[in-house]
Amino acid sequence: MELNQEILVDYLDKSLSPENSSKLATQLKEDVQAARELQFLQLAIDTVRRDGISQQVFAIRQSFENNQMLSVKKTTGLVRSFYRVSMRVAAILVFLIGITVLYKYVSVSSQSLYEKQFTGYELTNNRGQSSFSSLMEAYQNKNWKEVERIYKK
Amino acid sequence: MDKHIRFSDDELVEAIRDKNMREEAIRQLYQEHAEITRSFIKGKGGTEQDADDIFQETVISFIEVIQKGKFRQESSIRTFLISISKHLWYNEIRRRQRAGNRENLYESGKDTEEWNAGDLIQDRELKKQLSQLLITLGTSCRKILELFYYENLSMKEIVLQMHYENEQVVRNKKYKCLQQLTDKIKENPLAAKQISELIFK
Repeated sequence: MELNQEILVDYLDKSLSPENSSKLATQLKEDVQAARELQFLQLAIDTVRRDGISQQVFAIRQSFENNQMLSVKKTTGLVRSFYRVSMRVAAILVFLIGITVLYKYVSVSSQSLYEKQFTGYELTNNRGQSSFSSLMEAYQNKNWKEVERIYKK
Repeated sequence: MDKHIRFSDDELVEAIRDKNMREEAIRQLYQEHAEITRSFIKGKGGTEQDADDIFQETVISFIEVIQKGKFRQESSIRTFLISISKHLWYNEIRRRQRAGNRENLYESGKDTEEWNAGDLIQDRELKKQLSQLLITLGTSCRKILELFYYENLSMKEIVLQMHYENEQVVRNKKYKCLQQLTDKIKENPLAAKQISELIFK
């Protein structure tokens, strides 16, 4: 059998009859040049197959990496939304504290403080003493000017 | 919602052989084994990119090993993948730093496991160069070769898919394309060297 490239390709494609195939295998053991040619053809076929596998694996790698990135984004998203919620709560608290401080500042004056907090000193009732009666009487009547006058006298 | 099939190790090997199931099988390889092999590469000084590239190469090599019928299933798929990754990574380190301390690391990292890595994993550099040669062939040539040798379509199916006149036209075209690629490979010194080593071994 003449060992041309076409027959070698048929041999590699397994399209030769079993009889011719085994005959060719025997010939190849003796024909170094043809064996070399066959190896180059085999390498070419392996390259094509490898390229096909590479493309398929690469496509899956990309989709796998994209999915991983998506899940990382999702996780980051949760952290971010939790962060946002905490910031909102903090802002509301600051606002409420601010409002309270402002209200206190506006509503508390010396007059209101006096009105709310001042309690007058009431004299106890004394019996049988007449020397302080006019002063005491003026004091009990809250006639402060009279109290002052009697006191200074 | 995506429903994924979960293969056992034996089923996974079968699924890789079956072109209709292969995609699902590769997806499972990524889901179940990518992280551990990537951790190994990163633990040995590789970057994220190195880890991703090496795992991709590992999967490709694993599929090639299965398709060539050289996976003897004496170890689990995970062990086998880690073993391929190790070899690829040590080869890569060796390529990057030809001499010095790394050589010792490479030697100590070599496995004496069930398979002969030297036979199965050839030089990545050569494979890269051969892929580049394939690109120079042109789209229709690449397509016809891919449909025949990778997709395992018959001549009849290729006629239908690529709208050729008849099977003989496809046969001639496929032959010419393969010849063209072989001629380009012959001109590649790395490939020529490897073939010579194979022939005169």
